[in-house]
Amino acid sequence: MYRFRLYGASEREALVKILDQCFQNWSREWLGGAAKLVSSLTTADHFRLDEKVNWRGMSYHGATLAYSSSTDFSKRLAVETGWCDSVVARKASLVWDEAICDCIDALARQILLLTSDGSGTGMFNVSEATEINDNSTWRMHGAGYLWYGIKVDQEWLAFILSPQVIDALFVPSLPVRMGALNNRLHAVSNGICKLELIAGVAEVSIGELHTLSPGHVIQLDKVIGQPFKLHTTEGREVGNGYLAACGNNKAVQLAK
Amino acid sequence: MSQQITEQMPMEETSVKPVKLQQISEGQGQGQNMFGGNLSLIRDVKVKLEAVVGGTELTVGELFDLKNQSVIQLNASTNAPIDVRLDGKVIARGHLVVVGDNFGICIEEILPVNE
Repeated sequence: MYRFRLYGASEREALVKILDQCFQNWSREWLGGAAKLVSSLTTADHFRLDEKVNWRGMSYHGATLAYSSSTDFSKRLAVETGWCDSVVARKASLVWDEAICDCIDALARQILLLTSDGSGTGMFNVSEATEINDNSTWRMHGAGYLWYGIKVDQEWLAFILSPQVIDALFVPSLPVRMGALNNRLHAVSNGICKLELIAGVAEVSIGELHTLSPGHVIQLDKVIGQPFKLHTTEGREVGNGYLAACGNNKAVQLAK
Repeated sequence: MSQQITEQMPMEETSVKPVKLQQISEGQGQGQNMFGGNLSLIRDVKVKLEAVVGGTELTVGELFDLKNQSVIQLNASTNAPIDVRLDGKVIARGHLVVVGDNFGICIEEILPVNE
C-alpha cells in the first residue's frame, strides 16, 4: 500500500508537491516549463502509441501523463506498462499540447477532490485496483507501475508512475518506538515467522460454495501480472512478490 | 413536497406512550429447529475464499535481511496444489489457472468437512 500526501492549498501547488516528491527537483521544471514549451511545439511532436487508441502524452523521468480518446481502456494495462518503458527511453523530451496541459489541471483537481479532507492535507491510500468511483481508478501494474486514471467526458487521462518514482513517493510509516528492545533486536532474531503466499481471494455465495466440485474454476481478484501478497500466518501483509520456481519448489521473488 | 403532505395530513391528537418490554428468561426453545439445514436461507450470504500458494518459515533475522528481488523458497513443490481456505480452514485444493485477465483456481479436490 502506497501513501501519497498532498500539501498546499491550490490544486496546482498540490500537484507540484506531488511531482516534487516524484522527481524532486525535476517537477517544477516540468510544470513550469510546460506552458512555454507548448507554444513552440508542433503537432509533429506529439506521439501515438497506435492509431486505434490515439494515445498522447508525456513521460519524464519515470512518470507519464497521457490521455486517450479510447473508451476501451481497461484492456490496455499491459500495453501501457510496456509503453511507459519505451516512452521513458525514447520520448523523454516530448511535451504535450494544450489539451494535455488542461489535463494536468483536471488531474490535479481530481486528485485533490479524491484525496483532500478539505484542509489540503489529505492522505490517500492506494491499494491494488482500488476503485475510487465510476470515473477514476488507482491501479498497480504487474511490473510495479502505478496507474491513476480519470475519465473526463469521453477521454481517459492516465498518470503512470514507474517503480522508481513510486519508491520516491512512498512515505514510510514512522518507526515504531520499541524502547529498550530497539537496540536488542538480536534477542529476537532467532524467532520464527511463518509466512504464506496468497494467490488472491474470491468472494462467493454459500450457494455457490455448496455446488463447488472438481473442475469448477474460481476467479480470484488478482489480475495477471500483479504480485502475490506475502502474509504472516497471523494475517499481516509483509510484502509481495512474483511466483516462481526455485528447484523443485515454488518460490516467491520479492517485489516490495 | 413535504409541505404538500403536511397540508393534506392535518395534525391529529395522538397519545404517545413508552414501550414496555416483557421480561423473559433465557432458554433453549422448544420443538424442532426452525431453520435447521435450510440452506436456501443463507445461500446468498457471501464468504471469502483465500487461495494459498504455499508457506515457509523464516527467522526474524532472515526476514529483516530480505531485500527487493530476494527469493524465498516455499514449502510446496512446483506440482503441489493450491489450498483454498475458508475462514482459515482448507476446504478444497486446485491448481492455478488464468481466467480472462485474472488468476483463478481450478478445483481438483473438495476436502471432507473434518479435514
